[in-house]
Amino acid sequence: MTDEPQVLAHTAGDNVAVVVVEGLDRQARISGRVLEHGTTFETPVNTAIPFGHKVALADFEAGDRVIKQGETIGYATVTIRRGDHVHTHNLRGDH
Amino acid sequence: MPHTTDVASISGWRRANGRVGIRNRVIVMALDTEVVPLAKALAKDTGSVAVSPAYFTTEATAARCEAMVVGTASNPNVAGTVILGSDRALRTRVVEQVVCAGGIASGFAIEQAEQAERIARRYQAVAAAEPVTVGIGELWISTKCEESDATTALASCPAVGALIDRLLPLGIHAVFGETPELAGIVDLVASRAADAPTAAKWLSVAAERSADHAARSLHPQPTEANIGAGISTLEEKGLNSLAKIGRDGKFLDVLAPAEPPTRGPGLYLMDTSSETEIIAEMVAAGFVMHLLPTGRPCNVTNPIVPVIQINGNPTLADNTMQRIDVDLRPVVRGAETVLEASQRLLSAVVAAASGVSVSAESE
Repeated sequence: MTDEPQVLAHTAGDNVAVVVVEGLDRQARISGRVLEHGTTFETPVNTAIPFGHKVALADFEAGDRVIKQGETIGYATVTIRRGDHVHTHNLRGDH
Repeated sequence: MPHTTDVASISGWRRANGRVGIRNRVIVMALDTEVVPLAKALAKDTGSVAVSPAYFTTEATAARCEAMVVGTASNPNVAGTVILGSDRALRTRVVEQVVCAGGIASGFAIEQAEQAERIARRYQAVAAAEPVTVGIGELWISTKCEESDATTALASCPAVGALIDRLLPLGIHAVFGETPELAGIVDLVASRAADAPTAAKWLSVAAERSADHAARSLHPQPTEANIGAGISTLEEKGLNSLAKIGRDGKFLDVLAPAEPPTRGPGLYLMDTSSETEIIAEMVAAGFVMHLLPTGRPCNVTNPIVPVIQINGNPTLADNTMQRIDVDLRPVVRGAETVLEASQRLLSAVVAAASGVSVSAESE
């Protein structure tokens, strides 16, 4: 028996995961799962992140690739710390 | 785990052109607005389905509209079509093309209501025939998603993809589209083409759409609603959408809207907009069932094909799920894998392809 995950990563290589619970707020450790293999992990959350939005699983410098579903979805525009909310304020695509 | 023995047969009606329909609908088709009231009354009286000009997409030109009328009336789910229209030449042309495509149709003017009703009743009698059992590989399945969000990416789109991966080797035809949604991952999509000419054809239609999009200043992608739901970039949105075609299939051709595939069983890309109405274009190309992953419950129906709505949004209350045919919330809660979910989706597809009504058909 494992706890219901609070975040899901699509693949093992992803450096962001998706929040799948409502009302997630700053927390030292939450439980995550990789959808592809069912493996579990833990990650901090530094701020409130809405359902369906992304949390950083790694530290990023500006220009680093953000990887989701095993593919590059864009680049960090500023420094992002593990546990930060990743969205249009700190992530930009090529288009 | 390989599943082979449990892939059930389906039941349907084999048409003159060899195709199999999974519904046996009689259509009363209005070619112009003047005959719409008659079409509706006739459909009601005879237990048929009325299709009015509003059903055909706004993107369509007159020529494409005619092709869509013909394609819709010759869809294998249609047992017979009563064509009503004021323009005699158009009526005759449509009937001839439907018959040529293997369908059954007769055309009438507004003052021939009695004859039209007699024919509709005759088609209904023919449509009462018992279905025959056929292999699931006879299915032609279309898919597009609505209200994309994190849950369509995590659950409903990949579950459709896993199903497509499983059914393509059994000989199905499958089609996906929505070129504007794929604008952020054009090269990745090209890598899924079956050969170099098909990849080149895709790159050219994608460039054309993109130029047209810019010229008409259409709303930017991802949309405001997508961004609110957590989708940050066009790449992310494209990946979300592309999950519907699974991992293995390569598309054999890039079809124009409503254009029937001609390269045999396999996967096809149709160059369409992202509007809900494109389901009609896929139906006009001969697809007999639609899979609709949604982020929020959508009121999407089609008069010709069953639309199977698939949703995995755990923030939705149980009482909003009546429209949902396959509930994938367990995937997003971590209680079920995508593969397990696609097994449930397969059961729903087999049931719907064996005559069981889906939610969109039950009103």
